[in-house]
Amino acid sequence: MLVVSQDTPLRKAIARSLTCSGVAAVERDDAESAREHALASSIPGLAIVDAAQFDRAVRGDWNHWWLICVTREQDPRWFEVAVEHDIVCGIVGASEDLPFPTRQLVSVGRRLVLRRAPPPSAPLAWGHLWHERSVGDNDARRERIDEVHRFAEDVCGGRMAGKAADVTDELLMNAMYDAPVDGSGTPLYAHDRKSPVQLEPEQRPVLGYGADGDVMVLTVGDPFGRLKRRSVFESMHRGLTTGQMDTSGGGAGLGMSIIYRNCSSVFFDVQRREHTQVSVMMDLVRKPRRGDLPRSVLFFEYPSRRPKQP
Amino acid sequence: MSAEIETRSSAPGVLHAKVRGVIDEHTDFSPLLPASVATLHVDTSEVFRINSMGVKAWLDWVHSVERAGSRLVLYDCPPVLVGQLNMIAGFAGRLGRVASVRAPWVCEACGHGIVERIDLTHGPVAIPQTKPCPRCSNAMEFEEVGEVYLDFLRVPKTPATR
Repeated sequence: MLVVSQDTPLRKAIARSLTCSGVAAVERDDAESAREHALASSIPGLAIVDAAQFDRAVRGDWNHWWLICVTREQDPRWFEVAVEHDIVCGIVGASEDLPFPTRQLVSVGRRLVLRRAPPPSAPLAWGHLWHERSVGDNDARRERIDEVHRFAEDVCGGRMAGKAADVTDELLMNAMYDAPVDGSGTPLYAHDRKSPVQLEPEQRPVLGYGADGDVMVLTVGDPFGRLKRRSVFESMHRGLTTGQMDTSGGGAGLGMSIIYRNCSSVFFDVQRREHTQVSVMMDLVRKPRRGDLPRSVLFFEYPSRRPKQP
Repeated sequence: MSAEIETRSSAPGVLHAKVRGVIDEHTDFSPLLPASVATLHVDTSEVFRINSMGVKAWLDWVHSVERAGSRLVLYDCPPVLVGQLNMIAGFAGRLGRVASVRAPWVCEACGHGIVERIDLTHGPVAIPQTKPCPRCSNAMEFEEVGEVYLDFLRVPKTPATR
């Protein structure tokens, strides 16, 4: 992996986190020499690039490497860049007012090594109590949203509880209405959000949640693996800029931006046509009034683990 | 459970309403679409949550109110709706008005929280970032991003649906 920044303390901190995950982190202070390194490499990798150089970096040929932008400000422009450039898989928020996103970067490195999503509760400190629920219909969805609300209220109080319920609602809505498709890939329920859905056991998403005092984690996994990188960044960019709906998919097209506004980071792990896992981290320590601090959004796609058909 | 709506008429052409609970895909705004209402006053102080499909239902209702030529006035919008006013294009409609919002403060010393009404009938106001805690007298902090909480009054977004 490459770490590109002229800010030496930032570069060293990122490299240290990556080294802890078991990857070799090569440091560069300019995007051009980093790109030369990437082009000379026989294996595609991932470059984490400071926002100061990201515009220049993203326009070059990276020979199938992925790029992540590290930014100190919440700037919707990086989402626009991610929509325009297929090689961008993430935006990491790192601010002087935030704890350095060590947990996120260690898990980025580990994802690259293992080529799969971590267990849903991985971001939490050992000792937490993790809850998992399969959700098959709308009554169950409402019950689970209320359950998360009560849990979050006990852990961190009313305002955060409302945010956790909002995120759970949107995650489950996406997994129950947007994700399910038939054998030919046609959406089963996306067109009508008011109709009740009754998912078969093998179609059901699994909601997971827990907290460790610093962070609350909410995850929803579905067995379809259809979420697309571009649609995630596009939806968040629209929510952060014009605030327009996009009803072309049957919903309001606002769910992703609601998730973004209520989290400190969100990871999307997609095993194409097999599994999608969305993991949302909510900072319990950060003061709510600092809602303007940059959040992290990372999207990873992995090869299928199913045996190939003869 | 989806939001409940109560209405009462105070004078010919004037309807007062209160929306309570969670606004979602099942919220029925039809009680707020009466014929021949010139002004619709809606108290939103007890809206606890609104999801993305609730936003869609809300916007459909706001557009219907505008098509009917009625004037919409929102009162006591809680932070969950202020967030939508700031984020979503045309959330209060082109002709709608927000008469007041609710603003939250929390005391880090004792954990006490308060929500106060901010009157906007005379335009934007400065929201104090701190105020004394009525319980322990330490400084309470405004729980939202103060500089942008009332952005919807200053920076209207262009309503459109793709």
